[in-house]
Amino acid sequence: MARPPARKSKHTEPRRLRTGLALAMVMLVLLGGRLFLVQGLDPSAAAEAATGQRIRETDQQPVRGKILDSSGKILAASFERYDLVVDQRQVKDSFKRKDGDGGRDVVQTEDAVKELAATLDIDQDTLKTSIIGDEGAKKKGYSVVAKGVTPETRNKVLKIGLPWITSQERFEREYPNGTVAGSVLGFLRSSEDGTSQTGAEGLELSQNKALAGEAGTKTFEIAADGVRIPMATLKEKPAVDGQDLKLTINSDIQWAAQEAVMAKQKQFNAEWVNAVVVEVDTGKIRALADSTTVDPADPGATDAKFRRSTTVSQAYEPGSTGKAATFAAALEEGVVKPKDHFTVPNEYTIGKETIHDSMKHETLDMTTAGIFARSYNTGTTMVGSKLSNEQRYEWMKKFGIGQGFDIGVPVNKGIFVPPERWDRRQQYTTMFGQGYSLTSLHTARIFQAIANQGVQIEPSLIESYTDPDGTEHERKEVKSKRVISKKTSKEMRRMMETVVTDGTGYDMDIDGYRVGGKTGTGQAAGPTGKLDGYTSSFAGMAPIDDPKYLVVVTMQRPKGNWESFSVGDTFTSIMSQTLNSYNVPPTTDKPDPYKVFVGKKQKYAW
Amino acid sequence: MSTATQTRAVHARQSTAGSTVGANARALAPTPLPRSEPKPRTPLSLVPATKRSRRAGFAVFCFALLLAALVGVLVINVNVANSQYDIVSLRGQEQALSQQNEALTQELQNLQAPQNVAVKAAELGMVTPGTVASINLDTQKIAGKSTAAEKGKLPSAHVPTPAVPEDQAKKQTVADTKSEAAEQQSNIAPEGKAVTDGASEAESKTQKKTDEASSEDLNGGTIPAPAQQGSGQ
Repeated sequence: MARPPARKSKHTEPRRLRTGLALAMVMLVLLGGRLFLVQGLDPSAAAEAATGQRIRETDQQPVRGKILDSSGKILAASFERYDLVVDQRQVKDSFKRKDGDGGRDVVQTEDAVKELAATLDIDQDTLKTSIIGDEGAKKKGYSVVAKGVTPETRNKVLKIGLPWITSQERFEREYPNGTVAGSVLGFLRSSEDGTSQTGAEGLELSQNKALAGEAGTKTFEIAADGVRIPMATLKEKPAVDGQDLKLTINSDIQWAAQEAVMAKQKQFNAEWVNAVVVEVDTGKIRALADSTTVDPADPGATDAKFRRSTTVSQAYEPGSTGKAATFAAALEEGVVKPKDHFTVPNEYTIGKETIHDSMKHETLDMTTAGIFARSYNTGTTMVGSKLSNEQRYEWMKKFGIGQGFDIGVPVNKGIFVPPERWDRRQQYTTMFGQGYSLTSLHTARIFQAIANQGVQIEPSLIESYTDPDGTEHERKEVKSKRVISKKTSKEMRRMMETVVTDGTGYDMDIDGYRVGGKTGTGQAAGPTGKLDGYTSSFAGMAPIDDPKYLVVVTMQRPKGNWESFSVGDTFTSIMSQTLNSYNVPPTTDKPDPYKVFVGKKQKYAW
Repeated sequence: MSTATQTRAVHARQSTAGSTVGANARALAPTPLPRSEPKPRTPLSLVPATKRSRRAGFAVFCFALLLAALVGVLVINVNVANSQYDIVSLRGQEQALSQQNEALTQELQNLQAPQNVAVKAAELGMVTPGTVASINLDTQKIAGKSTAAEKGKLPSAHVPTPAVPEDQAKKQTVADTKSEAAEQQSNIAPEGKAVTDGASEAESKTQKKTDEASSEDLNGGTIPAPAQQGSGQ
């Protein structure tokens, strides 16, 4: 097809055409050259550089699981917080900020720092140092302006518009109940790279694997304005949040117990006072209270010894509460009956060892139950020596003395050596709670077995784990074993009631409930090994005919006259709070104690 | 090439003979084509030009199709890009809301701490109770002895109270409660006039608060956050 003949034109037309053509050619050559440069020579590197500019990879931080109490109240949770950071080298004297109507104002940096000081509530000079840097000092590339500010504060700071401030997100652990259950929960420390936190003590440490979760990554491409390019490459490995941990601890009882033991510690200026509350039927620990509790938000303020709960970390010689195991073993073996008669002197010599009672008393005709109620060491030795050392060792082991068990935090096993290593005196002292050591939780285990018709249930602190999707995993199977018979349990409980009605536990009774237990005053060895202090304790249960709750209160090294040491009011206040909280019905039944003395006369001087 | 053409010709002939095609086809001897009579040549004549308008219409159709496709792609692209911005702003909103939720939860938990409850109760003039007696309905017996609560008997405050964070969330909660209280008060006011006055006042307060809240809480987004149920608004 032939083109229509060109129109007759002015003489300028071919020149314009030629110029245009030349221009087009030049551009074509330029573009071609560039194309060759980009695509011909090392195209993959160029493509890589381009992708590199667009691609962003961010770490997806998992949210650390919460720790909840038995009713679902939060004991520990992670909240979003921001660190505000500035690169001092970039900071100029002034910057532009959007005003309300689309324009931009020039703002002096110093003025903005003033605004910032008001928002952050930080001293203006401090801020100036951290943002602008001191005169003459080397400018820092990474200077922290404020740490752990709330999202709200961060938004306010970003509104001030200092362009060089960046915010870094992190999670901060908050303990809304303060020190309540603090030493059980433990605390966190910063991880090595400083970007996250990891467990350092208590449950936060021992359950770190479940709580921490798994970090993920997210890879995506962004446009120049920072918005993600739709449908571009995206790789996402989502972070797996940590599991929530539900404890058996009841925070109300925990608080009441902490109040009570703190009051007791102040009263006698003791080294420490602790309390354990255990649910008898289930072995669930409802409170582990310490007179000195670490504040998980500020662990450094507490002495290292008290950063763990003393109820599981401190092993001590229990003293008279240890007689419970001896009497239970003797009853179970059938070598004594609660109403058997004994003639109990103030001083008793057996195998070249002389046993004294702490308070001088006349020689008394007593029942087995009476010896237990008045807590005479001499009588206890008479009862205990009806069993061989090996028999008693086996029974004490069966009750859990010297045994470790798993509650989710490390438990001090205490010291309990086999009978072949007992020295001449130790074979008798172990009968009344000296010569071996255990923790308050061990004592609670022994009394739990007696309270629960002879069946010992391993104590538990962790109720369940909850996945991020809400699936709840019950704690591992509850371990339980029969230690003593139902009959022995019943007799022991009646003997314990005698302790409260007619024995050493006279100030442990609670109005409306039948209470039973055993007092203990042990001698505590100091750092030199010399017995220079006391351990005063009480382990009690209620209601005694079918115990529901068990409270063990222990006071280490109180100061003053040992005869005045009593943890009775601490026990009653914690126990009544517990019975009240769990709606344990009171009873009108009269106590049914054993006779303490043989014969009609039941009143003798102590 | 030529053989192929031939074969095709043969096939054509076969098909005219009515035989089947395929592997099972009967091998038929090619029959000679029937001789046809030479046709008389059609005389040349002027062919009328095809209508120009039809060709133009097709071109227009093609162009329109192209344009539609282009516009379609553009619209979709713009939409996708826009929704990406929407997602960003919605995510901002979601974040702001969850942050607020978090702050309020934290504050609630703090206020629920047993120590704080005890302190609050003491401030309200409450004292620790005396012992409680209870009646067993089955046996008609009273267990325990009830004693009166003593004046000034407060729980020992040995456990330090955790600090409740003072932040905007708190102020907002306070504002919420206030407006709710105002509304309730106006509803139970005995006089009709007071009701209307109170209500309108409460309403205007609530409105004002909502406005403040919405302008504050947008966090760069454009869509105000949905109001929570039962927040008194």
